Amino acid sequence: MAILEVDSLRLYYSTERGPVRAVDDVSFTIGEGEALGVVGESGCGKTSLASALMRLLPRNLASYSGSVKLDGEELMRLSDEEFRSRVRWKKMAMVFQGAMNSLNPVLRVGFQVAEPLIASGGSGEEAKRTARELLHQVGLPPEVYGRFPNELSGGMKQRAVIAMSLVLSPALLILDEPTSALDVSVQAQVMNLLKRLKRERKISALFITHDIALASDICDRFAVLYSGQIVELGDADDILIHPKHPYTQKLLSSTPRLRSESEPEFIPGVPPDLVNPPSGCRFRPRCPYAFEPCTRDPPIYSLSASQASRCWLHQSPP
Amino acid sequence: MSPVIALENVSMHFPVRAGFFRTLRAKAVDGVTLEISKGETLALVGESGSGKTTLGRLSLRILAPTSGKILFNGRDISKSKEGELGWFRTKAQAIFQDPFSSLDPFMSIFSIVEEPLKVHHQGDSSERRERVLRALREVRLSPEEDFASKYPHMLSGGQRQRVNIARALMLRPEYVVADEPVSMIDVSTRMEILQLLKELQRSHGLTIFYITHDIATARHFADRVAVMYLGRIVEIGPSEEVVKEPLHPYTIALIEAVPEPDPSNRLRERSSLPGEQPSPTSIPVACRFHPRCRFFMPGKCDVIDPPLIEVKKGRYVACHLYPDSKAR
Amino acid sequence: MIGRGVLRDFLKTGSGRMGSLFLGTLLLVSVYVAATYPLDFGTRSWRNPAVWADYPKSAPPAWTNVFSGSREAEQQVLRLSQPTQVLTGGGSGRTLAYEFGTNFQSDVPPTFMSFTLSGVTFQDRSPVVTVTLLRPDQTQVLLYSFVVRGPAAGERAPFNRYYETPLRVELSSDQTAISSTADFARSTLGLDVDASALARTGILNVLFGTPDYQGFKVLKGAYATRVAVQLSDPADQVGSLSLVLGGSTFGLMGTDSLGRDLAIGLLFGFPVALLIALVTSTLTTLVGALAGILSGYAGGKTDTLIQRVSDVLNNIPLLPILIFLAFLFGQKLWVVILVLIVFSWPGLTVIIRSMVLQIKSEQFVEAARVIGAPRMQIVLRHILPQTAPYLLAQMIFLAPAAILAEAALSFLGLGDPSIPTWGQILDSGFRSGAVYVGFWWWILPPGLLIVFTAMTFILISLGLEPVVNPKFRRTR
Repeated sequence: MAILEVDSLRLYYSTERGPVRAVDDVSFTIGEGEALGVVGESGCGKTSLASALMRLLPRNLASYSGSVKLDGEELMRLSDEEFRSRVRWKKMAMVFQGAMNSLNPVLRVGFQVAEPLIASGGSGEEAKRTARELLHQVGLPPEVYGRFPNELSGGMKQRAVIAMSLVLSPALLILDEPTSALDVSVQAQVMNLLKRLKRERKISALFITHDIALASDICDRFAVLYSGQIVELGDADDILIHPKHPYTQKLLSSTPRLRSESEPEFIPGVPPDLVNPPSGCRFRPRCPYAFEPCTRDPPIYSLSASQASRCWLHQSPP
Repeated sequence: MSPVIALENVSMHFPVRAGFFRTLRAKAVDGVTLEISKGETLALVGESGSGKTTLGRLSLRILAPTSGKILFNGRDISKSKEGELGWFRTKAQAIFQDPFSSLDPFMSIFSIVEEPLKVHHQGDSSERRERVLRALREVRLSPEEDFASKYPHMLSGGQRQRVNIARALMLRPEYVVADEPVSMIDVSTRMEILQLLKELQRSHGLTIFYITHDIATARHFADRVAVMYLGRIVEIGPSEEVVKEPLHPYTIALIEAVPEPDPSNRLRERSSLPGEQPSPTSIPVACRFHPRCRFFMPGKCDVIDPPLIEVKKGRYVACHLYPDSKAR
Repeated sequence: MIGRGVLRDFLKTGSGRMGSLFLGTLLLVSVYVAATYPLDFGTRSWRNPAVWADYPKSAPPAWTNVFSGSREAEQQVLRLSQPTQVLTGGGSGRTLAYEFGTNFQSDVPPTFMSFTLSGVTFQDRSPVVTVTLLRPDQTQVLLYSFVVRGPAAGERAPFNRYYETPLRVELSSDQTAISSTADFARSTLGLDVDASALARTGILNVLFGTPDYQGFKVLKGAYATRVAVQLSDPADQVGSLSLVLGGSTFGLMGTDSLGRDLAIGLLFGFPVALLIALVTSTLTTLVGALAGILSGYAGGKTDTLIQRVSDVLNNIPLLPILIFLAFLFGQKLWVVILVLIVFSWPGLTVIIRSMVLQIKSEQFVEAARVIGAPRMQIVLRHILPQTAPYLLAQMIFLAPAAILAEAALSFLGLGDPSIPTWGQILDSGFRSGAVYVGFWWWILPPGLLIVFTAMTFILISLGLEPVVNPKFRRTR
């Protein structure tokens, strides 16, 4: 059963130049215990997708539409206050990019981990116990409980932030570039932790990153985002081995690899402007296969039970 | 072949205020010897805090080393005053990491690229204009007249990085330090910039010092790779060989930590280094990697500081696992 | 380019437009004043009571008549340099008659009456001067008569009198005039009054009125004041004469307790305020920016020195220093400006220093160093332009601060007496108790002008805000 069902989600920001279509008709589901990787270049709308799900933007700046169902409950109908008190952090938690800098420098780490529990009415003793247990689970030594954030290293802070996000046992965890501020060796430690948590706690997660290689370490399925739209959605294995959309193919071949002989390529041109995206297929100006039908918006073709791609190339059997 | 740039036992120590009276010494670079030959690309791979950026700045003589020698084409520049470095400034250039802060936001692309010529009083204004436009064409910012009149904020990250490259090549340098030139731009366009740099290297006969945290791009872009840990070079060798057969335990761990888009990796926990790199103010004694090393040999690694020795042809490593082939 | 774009964006904002309009007004008035006023206006006119002797004291502006029910007397200054009539007597003697006619229509008598005689030359015998008031009811009063002072011992003809200091007789309070009026009241009006009583009540309601059941009622109509000067020698000469009928209202802005025309003083305040504002803010910004850039870019001992000096200056209380300096150098405007500069640059320096430290670490500065650009060039080409918008904003922001500081100092009596400012007018108003007796025209206009000028600069800096802020700029 799906934990999260997103249907035709849109998030437009208003700016002086016109509306920014940051998330433009995005639909996907995340199953129980499943991790969906949202992959794309900077400015493709992946962080906006997270803020749309977590409703982080005030409504006067942004307009939302579509349907978001968490555990079968329609979230779009909830008022901001209901959302804040019932959903945010309790059912859906988020680890931000550079979240380790979001710790309050004057409060002890343990208290910050326990705080959401106390705030939602838990007893102090129990909250303390849970916090200690969680810190242990994310691989931090017990003395970290009484430390201040500046006494911890970057990797330890990131672990503490992950512990904070798990304290209320949310149904869904949104991870927005959780390791991009860390060094390679520390990134591997944190990824190991996430993998272990996913296995042991059966966490359902939305993993947002620009690094498809990193995402392939943990994600069961992928949604490839380009210019606010999902261009390809499918099982991780299918997408990594048989990418169908030209953008996915290009994205994979531009990733430099350590353990294969292929010379990395690049995608010419720049990602489109979200205010004035190209008409028709948005990848058309950078696509090597662009042909006549691409001036019209491509439909989403279901290529198998688990893979779908938004490209005119799938129109006739290849 | 004689090296273009040679660092001989170079150290850079910074005083760090710790508390009110205590001053610690941060050994950002601690006894590094390195040579880069003409036309070669050497990648310096390390994590943040390893001292790789400081080493790059030393080789440009933006910093003066605490000790050791810096030779450029055999000429010692380690103690030269800024006033005596005029000739060197035309021969050594830099491409910076941050495409946003490396260009003066108040200057047009034309004036940014023209600046090196103006500083060194090269050419009259029409000649300078000609050269600036040619440089913009070379880095494929065309139509070049359009780009020349733009301001940095109107350009994408990749385009700014091309401006950076154009500026660096303006004085026809021999040696270029590229400090993380692609780490802040999208994966999809990284290789485009690196390939452009490669082409320009061939056409201009450049010697490139490529500083990066990303060993994967280093493998594709550089001829040789040097791995730096806490102010020291722990391994140097031809890039393919280092990536395929890393010798130093730190290099091994670094390569193991890099994810690949390969489904077979999913949920497999990588063997990762325990802990984090210590601060350069408190460097462990002897082998500075020993507290995190999985091959730690008590009584040896924590007692004797391993020197960087050649263990195979062209492959240098600083580790007690590899006995000195020459000593044998 | 940036320059033109900035101006256009600036003028797009409401506050920018309004600020520019106000500043234009200020500048226009200042240029007019600078062109028409003498430089030593303060000492020669403003602080010289003789100049204001014939002005009504503490008179509200003339236009207040519109609001008050009764017709107040207006100030009338009549001046003659040629006699209206020359009467030749026997022999070589002659009498010059000067007649000052006025049609008096106010509901109240004049507040005072004075006449001034200047430039008399005689050869032999002292001229005799008589002043007579002719009333509309055909009666007349001989108000005053006197003999010009005769030759002093050893003095030779011709004898010059009243050239340096004109003879001014305040008829309304002169003892002779009072007793003449008392005579007139007794003989012509048939009233039983004596001189000492008149001295208390004033003679003008007698001279300009007719008795009625309440006392006196103004007699409206044509009055003439005839001054006759008897000369004995053909070579004797008389310069000019003037007669003032004091009004109870005056001019556009009224007068203060010394009779000074506030309109003139307030006008003079315009260029002075702008001068203080511009000189102080420009020099403060210059010093602050230089010290800040030097401190931030050079670092080391220079940095420490500049920072300590600015710390010290920041923590010294301004007022005692000013009082001390005023005592030392006298109350001079340049001392006030100098002290304002010395005590305002540190604040700016600290901010500019931190900006420079941040800019210095930007990669484009390092890029310039790699290119081999000399220090000076890096500062001028890369660092200064980054701070320029902020400096401009600070400069404009410092302007009202300087005006307010000067006003505050003047208000404490530390202003430069030779240069009248709005703050000083305000100060003298308060000192004379203008607030308690309701001389609003003395207090409000200078106060409002200070506010207006300060607001002009604040509006301009508000208008500059969106232009200067790089966040707004980058989106363009």
